[in-house]
Amino acid sequence: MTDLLALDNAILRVRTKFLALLEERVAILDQSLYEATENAEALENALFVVHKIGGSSGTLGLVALGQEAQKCEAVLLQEKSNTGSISSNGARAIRDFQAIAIATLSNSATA
Amino acid sequence: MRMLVVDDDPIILELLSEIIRSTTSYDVSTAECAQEALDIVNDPEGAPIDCFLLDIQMPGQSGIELCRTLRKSGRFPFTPIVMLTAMHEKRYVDAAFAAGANDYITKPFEIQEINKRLTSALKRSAHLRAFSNDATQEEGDREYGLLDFVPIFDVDKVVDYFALENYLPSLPKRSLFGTVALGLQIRCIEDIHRESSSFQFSGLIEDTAEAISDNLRDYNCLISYAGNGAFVIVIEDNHLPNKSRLVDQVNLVLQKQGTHLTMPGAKQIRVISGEFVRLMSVDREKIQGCLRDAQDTAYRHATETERNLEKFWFMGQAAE
Repeated sequence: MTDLLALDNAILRVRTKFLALLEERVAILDQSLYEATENAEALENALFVVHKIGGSSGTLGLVALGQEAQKCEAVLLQEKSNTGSISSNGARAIRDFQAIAIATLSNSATA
Repeated sequence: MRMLVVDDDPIILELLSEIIRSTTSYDVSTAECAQEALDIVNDPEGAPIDCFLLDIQMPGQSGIELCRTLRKSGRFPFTPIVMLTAMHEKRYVDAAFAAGANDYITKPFEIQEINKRLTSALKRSAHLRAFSNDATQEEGDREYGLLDFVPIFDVDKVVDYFALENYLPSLPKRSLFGTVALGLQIRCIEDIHRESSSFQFSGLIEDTAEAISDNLRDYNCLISYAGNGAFVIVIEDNHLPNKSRLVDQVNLVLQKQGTHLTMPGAKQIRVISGEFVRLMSVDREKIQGCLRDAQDTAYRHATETERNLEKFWFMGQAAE
């Protein structure tokens, strides 16, 4: 029982760090959108961010955020094989994801 | 006991470290890339690693390449290597198991699932290690029972049976349903096992694994020894081998490499195939059932063939 309580506390700590990192990651996505046109590196950076968030947020109890990250990753992977840079479709997916990320951050700040 | 977790995401590293420390007795070491992991593994003052948990997509060497490097080093033949990755596609699953992974967990993961899969990988590893220790004590002449899983190393596409059972449920559903299992049975295996030493028996199993692997090199498949002289091949249904041709080729290779000459009485070694069994469910137990069905049909064909041969010889003698 004590172990489970310790685990819950530990996950809460990791979640706090994740949320702090999420702010930085949302900023990276802003940068990717800014540099988007014909810039393969911007696409790679955005892919890296949503891939990481999609991998960990579900386990931390942020299921909707994880699902949105995976959706965005799928669109960006498609962009990667099509044009190699972020098109309007990819930019829309990133903005949708950012909206969920910002909502998650403000919910956790008020909680 | 020490576990090494390798992932380039600091959040995942911290999360896993907490989960493993809180729910197991493992000491956890972490690395953010393959090179850092190899430095830890090669540190002469570090405690040995008893389990690896590897991400796939990392800067530099990927987790799959790291897995291959660890297996090829010869230092971790039985150590569980579990992939923990967000890469769901079949090509990654295939490559991971072919490189020597024992299991494959996709992110995001459930905490209970991690514990369950690690426990099961460790049990399997302890079982295989016990074989290995016995072999060392008895100078390579461990008594392999007829039903034992003889460990096979360094043969392309050949994986441990436990890994094969984990491979199939790890596939995306569409790929799983496009997969079939085929059993190949060494004929008269009971007689061969009774008459040969363990060294001869394990040599026969290794030779047969190599012969099957050689003949399936152009196919996207995995092969495993299931005990009782039976091999199971799982293979994509869009490019299947001709069963009779495969059996003939395997028998020819066994004949050419002179496997029979190493056996008592230099008896010919022959394999026979079963029927293709389609995988129709994502349920782990049903998948295991399909693998058993593939072995059973091959065993039945082998038994029937021997019975028919006996009848043939008996009738021949009666006619004289």
